[in-house]
Amino acid sequence: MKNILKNRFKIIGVFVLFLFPLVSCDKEILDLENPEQFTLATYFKTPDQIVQGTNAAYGAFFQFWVGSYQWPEIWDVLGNETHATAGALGSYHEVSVIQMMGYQHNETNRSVENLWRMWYVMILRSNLVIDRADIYLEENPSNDLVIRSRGEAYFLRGWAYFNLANYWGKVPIRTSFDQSENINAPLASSADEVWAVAESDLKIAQSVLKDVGTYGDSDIGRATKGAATGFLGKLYLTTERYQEAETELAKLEGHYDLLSAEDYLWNFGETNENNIESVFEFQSAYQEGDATTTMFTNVEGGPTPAMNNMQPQLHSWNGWPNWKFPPTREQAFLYQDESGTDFIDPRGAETFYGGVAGDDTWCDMCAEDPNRVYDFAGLGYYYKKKGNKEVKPSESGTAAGAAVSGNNIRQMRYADVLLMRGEIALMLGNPSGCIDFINIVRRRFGIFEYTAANYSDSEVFDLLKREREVEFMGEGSRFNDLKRWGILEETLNPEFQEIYGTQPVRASHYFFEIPQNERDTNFGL
Amino acid sequence: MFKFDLKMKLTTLLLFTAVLGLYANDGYAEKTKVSLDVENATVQEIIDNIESSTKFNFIYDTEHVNLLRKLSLKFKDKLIDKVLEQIFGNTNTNYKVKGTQVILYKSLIDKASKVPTIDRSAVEPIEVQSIITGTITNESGTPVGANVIEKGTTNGVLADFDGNFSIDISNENGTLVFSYVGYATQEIALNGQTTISVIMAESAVNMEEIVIVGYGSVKKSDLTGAVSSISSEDLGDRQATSVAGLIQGRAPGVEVSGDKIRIRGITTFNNTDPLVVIDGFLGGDLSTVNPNDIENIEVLKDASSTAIYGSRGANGVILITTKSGKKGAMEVNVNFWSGIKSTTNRRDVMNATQYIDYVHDALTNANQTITDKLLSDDVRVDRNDWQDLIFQTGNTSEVNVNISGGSDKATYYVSLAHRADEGIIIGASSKATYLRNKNTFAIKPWLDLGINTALSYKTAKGANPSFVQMLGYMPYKEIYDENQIGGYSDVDRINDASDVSNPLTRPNKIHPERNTLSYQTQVNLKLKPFKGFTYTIQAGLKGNSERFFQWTDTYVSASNVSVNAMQESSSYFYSPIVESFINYTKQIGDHNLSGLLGNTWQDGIQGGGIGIGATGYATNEIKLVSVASSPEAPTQSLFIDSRLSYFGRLNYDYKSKYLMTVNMRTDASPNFSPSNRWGYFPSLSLAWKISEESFLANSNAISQLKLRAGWGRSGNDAIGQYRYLSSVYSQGVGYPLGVSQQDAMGATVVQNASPEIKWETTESLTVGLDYGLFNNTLTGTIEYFDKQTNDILFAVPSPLSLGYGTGLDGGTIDGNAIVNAASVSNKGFEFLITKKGDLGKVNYNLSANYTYMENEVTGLGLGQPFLSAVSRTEIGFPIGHFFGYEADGLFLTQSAIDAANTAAQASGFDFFQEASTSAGDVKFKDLNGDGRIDGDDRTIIGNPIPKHLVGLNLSLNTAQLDFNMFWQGAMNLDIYDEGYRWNRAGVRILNQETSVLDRWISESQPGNGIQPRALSGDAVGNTRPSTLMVQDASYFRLKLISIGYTLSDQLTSKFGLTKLRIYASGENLLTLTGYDGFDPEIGGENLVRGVTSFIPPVAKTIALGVQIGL
Repeated sequence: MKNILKNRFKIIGVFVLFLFPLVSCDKEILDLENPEQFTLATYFKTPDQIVQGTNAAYGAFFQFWVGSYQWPEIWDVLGNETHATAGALGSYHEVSVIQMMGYQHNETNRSVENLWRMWYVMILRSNLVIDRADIYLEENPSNDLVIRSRGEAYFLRGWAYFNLANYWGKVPIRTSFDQSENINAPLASSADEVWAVAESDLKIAQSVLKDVGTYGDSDIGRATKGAATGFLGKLYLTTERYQEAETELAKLEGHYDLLSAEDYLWNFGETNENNIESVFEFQSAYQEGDATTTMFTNVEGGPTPAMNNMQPQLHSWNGWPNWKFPPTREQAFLYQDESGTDFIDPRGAETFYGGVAGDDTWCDMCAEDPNRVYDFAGLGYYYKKKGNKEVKPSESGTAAGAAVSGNNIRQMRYADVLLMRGEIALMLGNPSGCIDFINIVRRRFGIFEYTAANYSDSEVFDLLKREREVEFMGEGSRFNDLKRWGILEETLNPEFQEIYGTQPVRASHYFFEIPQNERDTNFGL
Repeated sequence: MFKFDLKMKLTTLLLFTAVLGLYANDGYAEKTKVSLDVENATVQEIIDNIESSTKFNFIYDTEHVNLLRKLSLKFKDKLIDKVLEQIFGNTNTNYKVKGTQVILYKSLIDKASKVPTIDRSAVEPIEVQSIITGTITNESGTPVGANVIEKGTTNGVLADFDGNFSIDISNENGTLVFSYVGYATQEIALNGQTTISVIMAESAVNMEEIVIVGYGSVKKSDLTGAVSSISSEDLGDRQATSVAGLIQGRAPGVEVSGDKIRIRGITTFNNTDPLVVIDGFLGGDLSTVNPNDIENIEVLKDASSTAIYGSRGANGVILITTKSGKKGAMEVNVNFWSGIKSTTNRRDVMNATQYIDYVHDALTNANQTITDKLLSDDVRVDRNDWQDLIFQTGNTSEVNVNISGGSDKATYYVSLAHRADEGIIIGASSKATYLRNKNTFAIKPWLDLGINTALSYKTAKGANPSFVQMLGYMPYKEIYDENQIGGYSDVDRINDASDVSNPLTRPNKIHPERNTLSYQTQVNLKLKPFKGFTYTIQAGLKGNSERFFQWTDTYVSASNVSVNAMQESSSYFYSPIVESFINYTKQIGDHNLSGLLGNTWQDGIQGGGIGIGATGYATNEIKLVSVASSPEAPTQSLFIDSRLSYFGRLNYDYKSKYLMTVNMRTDASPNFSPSNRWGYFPSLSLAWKISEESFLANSNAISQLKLRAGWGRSGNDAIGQYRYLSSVYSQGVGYPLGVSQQDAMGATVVQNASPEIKWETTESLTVGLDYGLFNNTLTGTIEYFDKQTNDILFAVPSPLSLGYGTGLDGGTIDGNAIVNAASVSNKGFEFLITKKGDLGKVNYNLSANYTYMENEVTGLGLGQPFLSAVSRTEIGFPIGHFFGYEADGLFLTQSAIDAANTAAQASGFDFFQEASTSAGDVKFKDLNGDGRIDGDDRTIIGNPIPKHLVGLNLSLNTAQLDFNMFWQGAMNLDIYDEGYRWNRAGVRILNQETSVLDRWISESQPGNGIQPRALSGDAVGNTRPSTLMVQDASYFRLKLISIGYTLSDQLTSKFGLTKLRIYASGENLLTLTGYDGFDPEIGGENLVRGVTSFIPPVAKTIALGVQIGL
C-alpha cells in the first residue's frame, strides 16, 4: 500500500530541485562568438592584420571573372584587337563579351557590371585598410608596415576611381569605411569630382610609398611609388593636364627601363615578371590541378583563392581557344620606311603567329618538335603575346584541361610611359619631342628611327597612333587610346564595316552605362 | 435479459459479466444483423426489443441512461453499432460492444461534476474502521493498477500489478472512487460490502478525438485555435515515402510542394518551414521520420495555437505523434510494398535536321560563320535521344515491420523499415533504414517515464546529369568516342560551335556517395504528485553525422579535362534540449481551469565538419590522399548555437461551453544583439460551443457547432547567425606576392554589422466555425485568417557599389546586411467539409478542402521596393512577384523596327530597344511611354503564390475492400521558367524544344508571331525577364489512388495471422495542367519561389503491397 499523501511533499521537493536550476539558467548561454569568423571589433588591430586587408584589396581584381579572364577580353573586343572563334561565340561565359564585340553592351551587360563591382570591391577593401591604418597610426605613427599598407590602399583606391571616372564619368563616391551614411550613394555631381578623388589618392600613395628597389623579394608585386607616379601621370594625360603629366612621368626615368628585344616577351610571360620594364601588374599564380571551376567562383569564403587566369587557355593554340589574332590587324605591322620601302615591323613576330608579319615558328617550349613550322592554313592566326611560353603540365596536351596560368596581368610598362610622354610633348606643341620618345621605343628592336623634320604635326600624331598600336597590340590599350583621342567612332566603324558589315559605335559608347543592378539597389541614385 | 440496479447488485453483476465475458464471441457483433421497426417507443422498450431478438445483453447503470426517451426507428439488417449510433448518437450516453455485451455509460463531460476533488485542507487523522479489498480489471479482464480513493477524503491507495487493492476506510457505507488514465472514473457505493470487483470502462475521453497541442493535449471539441488533424486512418494504408507527401492536400491552408510545407501563405523571406515537433521534441527533422510510424499529424495554423512555440511558430507548427504500444497482447505488423516509377512528362526537342536548320539560322542571324561540319550531311543524322538515355524506369520498395504491445505498467513499440529507391533519372539511387523504439513506463502512480529513440541511416549515391545538357546535346552525337579522355563523346567547341557537353559523362564519371546517420532520442519524465498537477521534464538529443565521398574519373567535358580527383568530408551536428513544464488542472463548479508554465533550454548545439581533397592519382585503385600528388588544403567548419525560452498558458472554460486560451512565450535568440534578444509572443483565443446551448441541444440537424476566434503573435529569427555583427573573412581573399608568388594571406570585411535588427513578428487573427450536422455525418470547418507579418528580416540586396557580395558568384556570402525590410499580409478563407455515410454495404468518406489566399506586401522597411533576381517586393503586390518586361509579339518586319527607332531618335535616344534589334525580335512594351525600352519599363509579370488550393479525398470501404483516391491542386499561380533562355528561346547553339520550330524565319515566314528569330548569343536581349518566361502553372493532380483487399477473418486465421491485406496504389498517375514544363508542382524557396530551372519531372509510381498482422 502506498500513500500518495506521504509522497506528495517528497515529489514537490524533487520537482523544485529539477525546476530551479532550469528556471534560473544562465542567460550567458546566448552570448555566442562566431567560431569561424573574426569581427571588425577584434580584427585589423595589428600591422600583420592591416597588411592582410591590403592583400585582400589587391585580390579584388580577381573577383567577378575580371582578373581570371575578362580583363584582356573586354579591352580586346572594344578595341577590335581580337577575333572570336566559334568557341567564344558558343560559350555561355563569353556572352557579355560577345555583346561588347558588337558594341551591344548596355546597362544589363554582365561584363560592364563585373568591372563596376570589381572596382567597388577594391574601394571598399581599401577604405577598410585606410580606416584601420589611421586608427593604428595614431598610436604608433612610425610603423612602416602600416604606413606602406595604407599607401597601397590609397593607390588601389586611386586606380579604381581613375577607371570609374574614365569609363563611367559620374559615379557614386565612397571614400569612408563608415557606411552608415552612404549605403545609398548619389552620383558625383561631375566626372571631375571623381577624377579629383583619384588624383588625391594617387598623390597620397606617391608620397607614402617607396621605390620599387626598396621592396624585398617577398613583397615584389606590391604597388610602389613608381606605380602611383605612373598612374598619376596617366591621369593627368587623360584629363589633358599635360604639364603635370610630364612632370610626373619624367620622375620614372632612372627607375624603369625597356627590356632588351630578346627579353621582350618577359612583358607577357610567366617568368621574370615584375621586371625593370614593369611599372605595375596584378599578380597571378599558377595553380596546379583543376582550377577551372574555381575560376568562375573565386569568392570570399571560398576554400582557396585561385588567383590565376585563363589567358593562355582562351587565346593560344594550346588552349580551347576562344579568341584568335584578327588577320585584319596585321596591317599595322606592314608599313613603309622613310625611303618608301615596304617594311615589316619585327614586333609582329613577337605579337602573333601567322601571316606575313607574324612568327612562323611556334611551340617554342613544346617538349616534342619545338620550333616547328607554323601551320598557317590549319591554325589561323594566334596571339603569341597571350600564349604562355612557359607551358605548365596542365596547360598542354590534346585538350588542355585546366585554366591555371600564372601570367600576371600587366597594367603599365615603361614603353607606355615613354609613349605617353611622347603624346604629352605633341599635345604641348613639341612634335619633335614626341618623335624622340617614339624612337626610344623603336630603338629596342633596332627599327629605323623617324626624322622629326619629315613630318607635320598631324603626321606625327599618326606615327604615335601606329607606334602605340604596334607596341601594345593585345594589351588592352587601343580602346582607351582611341577614347582619349576622341576618335572611337571614326576609327572603329570603318573597321567593323569591313569585318561585320555594321557600324555600331556611337558617341554614347565613350562611357559605360551604370549597371541596371546598381540602379535597382542604390536608392541614392 | 439482464437489467440491474448497480447500486444493489453490483458484485453479482460483475462476477456474472466476468464469467459471461469468457464465453463472449468477439465476432458476434460483426455478424449479427439487427432489424427494428418501432414508433414512438421508449429507449427501455427498444432495448428490450433488441435483447429479445438477439443475443445482445445490455448492461448499464439506470442513472446513466434516459430510458424514457421516445424514438421512432426503422432498420433492416443493420450492424449493432449502427443501431446504437441511431439510438444514442445524440445523447450523453456512450456505448461499447464487447462480444454480446452492450455496455452503456455516461460520457465524462457531463459527469465532470462528479469527479472527486481532493480537498487538501481536510487532512485529518481518520479513524480506521474497516478494510475493503478487491480486484480491478478492464473489460477484457486485464488487471488495471488504478487509483482507489475514498470519496470526500484524501485517503487513497493504488492497486498492484495484478489489479488487487486493499484500503482502510473511515466509513463503511461510503463510496470508493476508481480512476485510471484512459478509463472512465467509476464510483462505487460500498453499502457495507468489504470485497468488490471493479470493471473499468475505457474512458469516454479516449473515444473522443484528442488533439495534441503544444505541451499538452485537448479534446478536439474544446479547441480554440486553428488546428488541422490528420490521423493515420485518414492517411489510409499505403506506401508513403515522405511525411510532407502525407500532409499534402489533407488540410486546408497547408500547401506542400515537393518536400516544402507552407502553412497559410508566405509570410517571410526567411525560413518559411513550419516548426516540426516530433513526440514533443522541438525542432525535429521530418526527413528522419518513417511515415509508417506516424499515428497522428496536427497542423497548428494560427498564432493562437502556435504562440506557445513563440518565435518558432511563425510559420505554423507540425506536431507528429508516432505510434505507441498499447496495452494488451503483442501485435506484429508487416507492410511490404514494391513499385516501379516512370516519368510523368518529357519535353519535345528538335530532331537533327530541324536542329541544324535552326543552328544555321541562329549563326547567320548573329553574323557568325557556319562551320564545315555543320554544313555536312553527317550532322543531319539522328543518332541518340538523350532523354531516352537519361530517363529510366525507376523502382522503389520498402519493408516495414513493427512490434508493439504492453501491460499496464509498460508499453513498447519497435519498428524497423528499409527502403531502396532507384530514381527515374540515371545516376541516382538511395537507401534508407529507419529504426524507432518507443517505451513508456508507469513506474509509480505518480511517475511516468517515456523513452523514445529514432535512428535513420540514409545513403544516396550517384551524380545527376545536367538537364540543360540532356535537352541540349546534339541529336547527331554518338554516345561514346574512344578518342576522348574518359571515352564519352564530347562537344567540339569550334566545329560544333557549342559548349554543351555530353549529358552522360557526368553521371558515369562522377561517383559521389553520401551517408547520413541521424538520431533523435528523448527521455520524458512525468511527475504527478497530486490530482490535476503534472510536472514534465523532457530531455532530448538529436543530431547527425554524415560522410561524403566522391571519386571522379578523368574525363573531358566541353574540352575541359577533369583529372581524377577525390573529395571526402565528414560532418557532425548535435543539438541537446531540455524542457520542463508544469500542467495544472482545476475544476471549481462549472469553471474549468488549466494552466501551463515551463521553459526550454538549449545550450551546446554544435556542429562542424572537415573536408579533404586531392588530385593527381596515378591509378584509380587507391583513393587515399596520401598517394595523390596534389592534395588540396583541408577545410573545416564549426558551428555553435543556443536558445532560451519561457512559456505559459491558461485555459479556462465555463461548462465546457465558453472556452478561452491565453498563451505567452518569450524567446531569446543569439541571432540578435543583446538589447534586441528577447521576443514576446502572446495569444488569446475564445470559443463558443453553440451546440451546447439549450436552443440547439435538441436539434436533430446540428450535432456540433462551435465558433472560435483567436489572435496571437509569433516570431522569426531564422536569418542565420551573427548577422548583427560584422564578419571578417580570411578565406578566398589572399593574393600571390613576391618572387615565389606564394599566396599571401588576406582578410577583409564581407558583411556590415546590423546591430539594430530585431525580431520579425507575425500577428494573426483567425475566426472559425466548426460544424457537425446530421449526427456528425457531415462535418467541417469554415475559417477566415488574416496574418500580418511585420519587420520581416531580409538581406535586402545592397548597392553593387557598396563593394560587398563577391560571394554571389557561387559563394555563400551575399554581403547584404540584414534589415527589418518589409511587412506582408496573408488573408484568406479555408473550407473543409467531410461527409461520411454508407451506401448499403459500402461506407464512404468524402472530404474536400479549399483555401483561398491573398498575399500582399504592406510595408517596406527601407521605403523602397527591392529585387532579387526576377522576384520583386513592392507595396501592394504579392511578395516576390516576378518582375520583368511585357512581351508584345514580334517586330515582324524591318520597317516596323526602323519606324520604332526613328521615333526613339526623335525623342533623343540612339534606338528604341537595342542597337541591333531587327525583324523577328521580340517587341517589348514601352510601359512608361518615354519612347525607349529600359529598366523602367518592367512591371509585375507573374505571381508565384497560388490563390487557390484544393484537396479532394474519397474513400470507400466494405468489409473487405477498400478504395482511396486523393486529388490535389493549386490554381492561379505562375512559374518563371529559367530554362527558357537555354532550351526554348533559340539563342544558344544547343538543341532546343520544338516550340522553336514556330520561330520567325523571314518576313515571309513569320512563324507564330511569338517565337522570335533564332539568334546565337542574344545580343538584342530577347531573353530578358519577360512574360515569355512566365507560364500559368495551375494544376489538379491525382496524387494517389489505391485499392486494397483484406482477407476474411476465417481465411486469415487459417494462415495463423490476424490480418492480411493486399493492395495496389498509384501516385501522380494523372495531372491536369496547362503548364508544359516538367512539373508544375515546384516550390522554390522564399524569394526565388516559383522560379524553375530544370526541376525534374515528378515520378509516376505504381506499387503493390501486402500488409500482414501476426
